[in-house]
Amino acid sequence: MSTIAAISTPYGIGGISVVRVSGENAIKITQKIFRAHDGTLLENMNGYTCKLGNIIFENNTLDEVIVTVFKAPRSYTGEDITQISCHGSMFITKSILRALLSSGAVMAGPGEFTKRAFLNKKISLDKAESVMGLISSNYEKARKINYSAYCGFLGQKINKIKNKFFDILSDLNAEIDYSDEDVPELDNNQLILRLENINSELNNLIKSYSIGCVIKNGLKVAILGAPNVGKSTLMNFLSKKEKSIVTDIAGTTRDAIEESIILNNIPIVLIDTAGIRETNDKIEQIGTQKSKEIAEISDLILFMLDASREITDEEIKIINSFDKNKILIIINKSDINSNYNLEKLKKLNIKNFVLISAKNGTGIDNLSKKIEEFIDFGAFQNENLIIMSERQYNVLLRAQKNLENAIDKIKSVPRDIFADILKESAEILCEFSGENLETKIVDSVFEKFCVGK
Amino acid sequence: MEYDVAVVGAGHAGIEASLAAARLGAKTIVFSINLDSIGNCPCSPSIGGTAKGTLVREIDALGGEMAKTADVCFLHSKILNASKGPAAQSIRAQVDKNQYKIIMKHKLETQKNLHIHQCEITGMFKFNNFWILNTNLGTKYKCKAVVLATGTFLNGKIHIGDISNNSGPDGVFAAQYLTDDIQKLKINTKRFKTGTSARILKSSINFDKLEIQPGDPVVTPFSYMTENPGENKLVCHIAWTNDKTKEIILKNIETSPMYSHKIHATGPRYCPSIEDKMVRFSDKKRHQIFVEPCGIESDEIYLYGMSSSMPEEIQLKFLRTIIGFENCVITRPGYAIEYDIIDPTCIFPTLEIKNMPGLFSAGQLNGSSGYEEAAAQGLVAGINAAMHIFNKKKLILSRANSYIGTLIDDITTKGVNDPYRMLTARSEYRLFLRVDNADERLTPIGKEIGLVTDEYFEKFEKRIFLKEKEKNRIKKVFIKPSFEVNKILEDSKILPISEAVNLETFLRRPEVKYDLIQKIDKNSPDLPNSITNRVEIEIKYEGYIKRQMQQIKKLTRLEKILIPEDINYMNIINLRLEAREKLSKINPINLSQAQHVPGITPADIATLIIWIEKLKRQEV
Repeated sequence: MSTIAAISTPYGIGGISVVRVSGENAIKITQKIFRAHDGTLLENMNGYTCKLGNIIFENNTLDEVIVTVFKAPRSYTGEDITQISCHGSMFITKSILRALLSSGAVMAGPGEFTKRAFLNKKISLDKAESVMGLISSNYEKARKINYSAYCGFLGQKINKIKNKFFDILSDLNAEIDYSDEDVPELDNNQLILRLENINSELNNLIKSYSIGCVIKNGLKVAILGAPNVGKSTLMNFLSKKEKSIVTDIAGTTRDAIEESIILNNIPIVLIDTAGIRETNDKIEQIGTQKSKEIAEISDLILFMLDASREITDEEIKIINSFDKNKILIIINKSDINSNYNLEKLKKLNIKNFVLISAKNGTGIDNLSKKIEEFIDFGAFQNENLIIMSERQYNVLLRAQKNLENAIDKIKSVPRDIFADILKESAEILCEFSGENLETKIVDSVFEKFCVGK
Repeated sequence: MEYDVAVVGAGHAGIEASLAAARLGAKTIVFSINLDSIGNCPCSPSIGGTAKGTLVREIDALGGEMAKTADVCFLHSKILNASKGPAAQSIRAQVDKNQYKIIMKHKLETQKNLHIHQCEITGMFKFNNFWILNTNLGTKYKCKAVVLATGTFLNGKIHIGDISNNSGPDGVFAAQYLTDDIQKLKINTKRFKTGTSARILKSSINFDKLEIQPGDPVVTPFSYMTENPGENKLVCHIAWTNDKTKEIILKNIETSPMYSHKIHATGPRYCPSIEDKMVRFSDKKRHQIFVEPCGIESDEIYLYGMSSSMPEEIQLKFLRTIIGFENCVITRPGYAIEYDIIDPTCIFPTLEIKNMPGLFSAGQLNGSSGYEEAAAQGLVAGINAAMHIFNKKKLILSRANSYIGTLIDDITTKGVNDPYRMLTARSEYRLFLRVDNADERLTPIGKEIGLVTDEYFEKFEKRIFLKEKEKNRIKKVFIKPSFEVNKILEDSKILPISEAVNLETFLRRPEVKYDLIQKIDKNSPDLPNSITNRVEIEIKYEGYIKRQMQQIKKLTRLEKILIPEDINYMNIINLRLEAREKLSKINPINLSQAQHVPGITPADIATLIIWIEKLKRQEV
């Protein structure tokens, strides 16, 4: 494969920048522009060692750098790699890259280093995806889950499931191929038990995707309520920015405003909406309609009441129009009235509510606790086994569908056909780590990478 | 003396090789160390088995001999896995061992263009475009092509307990010189081991204490040409090992040459000796023994599943623990045999040895195990030796059209670590590679090569015509939920129908067999089982078979992309280094074979496709 080069650190000014080179000629090409102070040639260096020296290109000394050498197959890509750590000026970094490109390297495509690591069997496809996740992790929970996927916990789990498939398949094949030996016939009910066991393991992983989505994309939370109950104040408090226009004139927020926040380690996409009320104002009507639509597509609705007044019939009507499982009642303005009468709410059979003051921040801890309960992380005790990638999710879904088909057919088709159906499930699962993937699918995974990784 | 083709060895591979070459018009000679051991079955006196029976059918469909001979001298025949589905089914027949040898020898003796000759080939070398073979009597043969089919004879060494001697099976001399000349040609060799069980005297067995295993009431022949195979001549029996058998074997395990580390060669994983079974499957209470007669005019009984190389007195001791064998008398003890094989990755899928034009090898010499596997390779090697002589395109069978193709692709691409046995699980396409449709898959190929006779081909065409006609007919015939129809269904314990349905749809119901259609539809034509059976399979499992056909299409596409013979993988800069090294070693002929080289990924294949496309464009 050709030798590729790219800037691996972000574009901008920093203490150092790193230019990475990988491929059969990585060392030879780097040597063309590098002179170690002690005269050592890169080819004589061991892997995982480095040298201080100058980058000299067209008789011009560009920078004093450190070159680290990795030798195939003991490197990230499985090929020879050099990493040039230079001073973190964009101009210097680009000049070094240009020097490498004119010395025989080609510009790396997006994610090409990791793609090569996959092609050279250094990492599996699910691990490659977790590298991508790790790079974009911006809070602790996401980092933790991506890191455990990177460490291969998820891959090991899938391998275990796959091995269970292969065990069953080899039992089936033994039954067929050693019919003239005394291999015992397999009992259908036993087989079903074994398959149901696999199915429930697949199911746990599949279910974890909803959490994976929250971790990756954030929980969509809509703040809903009558005008002037303090929705925008809460939004502003949480996002700590004056984004919503806060006035005491009812109906100020006519369009929805979105804000991504991390609340107690939970990523949330907060959506402030226009107040809902019966009105003749055309623009407000549209706002009310839009608020309802947003509520429909949100994961969670925070419905806000005003503690300084009784709940209205209109508010009750709106609360009843939504799925009770995704609604959390917030009673705002506890600073004005801390003895809100809960009787009416209890009659509505609503048990999930929080008393807060968006203005001075009391009760916010309680709110975040309630949101955490809503996501129900507890149901997934093992944080190592959360599916975050849509591709992985689809692989699991297909494998499960196929497995269910096999269970369904076990009694109506002969053994060889049954084994064939089951084999397909195992083949689908192989796609998880990319063992038998068509190149196209592989490429589509790597296109999502940023250059230099 | 000069011949076109010389075949070294007249076992199951040598027989098919020499007959094929001679029938295709090559002046052929076949050598055997002992002409009376032509077509010997030194292990179980049976032909076929799961996947192996399908190999026998495939040999027949291409114009080979094994099926026809087995049909003439079978004693007991059975369809295996009858209830486990169309891909699992196969035929297994006990044969009269002596009859089989006599018939095969006579077929070789009377074959036009073929001479048989008793001698040991002791040397072999290349001279211009010829191969020169030396015999132990100093005679030289000059041949254009050679098929090596030496079975377990190359440096054969038999072990019984701590006694060992140089010998081939059944007391025939081993071939002790040829390996040296093979190695001189820089062909890699290895050492393998296999074994067999004791024979005991029929009159010393108490059959009353054994389970009877009858053959099928209606015998299914191997050959498509055999119309009336006749009935089973006798029954087989089943015996079981017990705790005492196990105790004796385990107590004396150190006397087995495998366990005293006297033998270092690799034995078959799939056909372990009884001492292996006792050690490896120690939780198993008992092991089954098939009690198989060796022939009508023989009172020797073969014990399938009891292969052993323990000392003779231990063999007798543990055999006598078995119920029914209390007074058994051994006629010949079981033994282990070590022999030389050629590393089959040195061989092209044509079975021609790489860089050795005109030199072919087949059978156990290539690391396989079993008569059927040997015969299948012998046939291909014999055909291609003839193709070599006549300068015609050599035959390469595909994984997509046969178990023979799968077998050859497996051993030549992946190599062998222990004797290779054919299994249905080795094929990705076993729903298509069935025992019933071997003719559809291969007879047109056999015809084109010239081994399938006109008579055979006419019958084949008629069979397919009738099958297709019936498949079309039952699409158009509807049955109605009449009292009579539902009465027949009820009698067969099948759910009644509630609305009119065509017979094709009806046959798709899992519990419906074709004979039910014959009962319901009085206008059904009178067709032989071999045809109705296929109609039923092809309709009932159509969806599943179609899925495999789609996969086969993908494979065929890769097979059609040939890799130039002079390709230098080291120059393909876009290919991973590991891939370059592995491909250089195997030197695959097309992309399908390349794809199966261990360690090669789909991405490597994609890179190769681009490279080959580029080469083609440069040539234009």
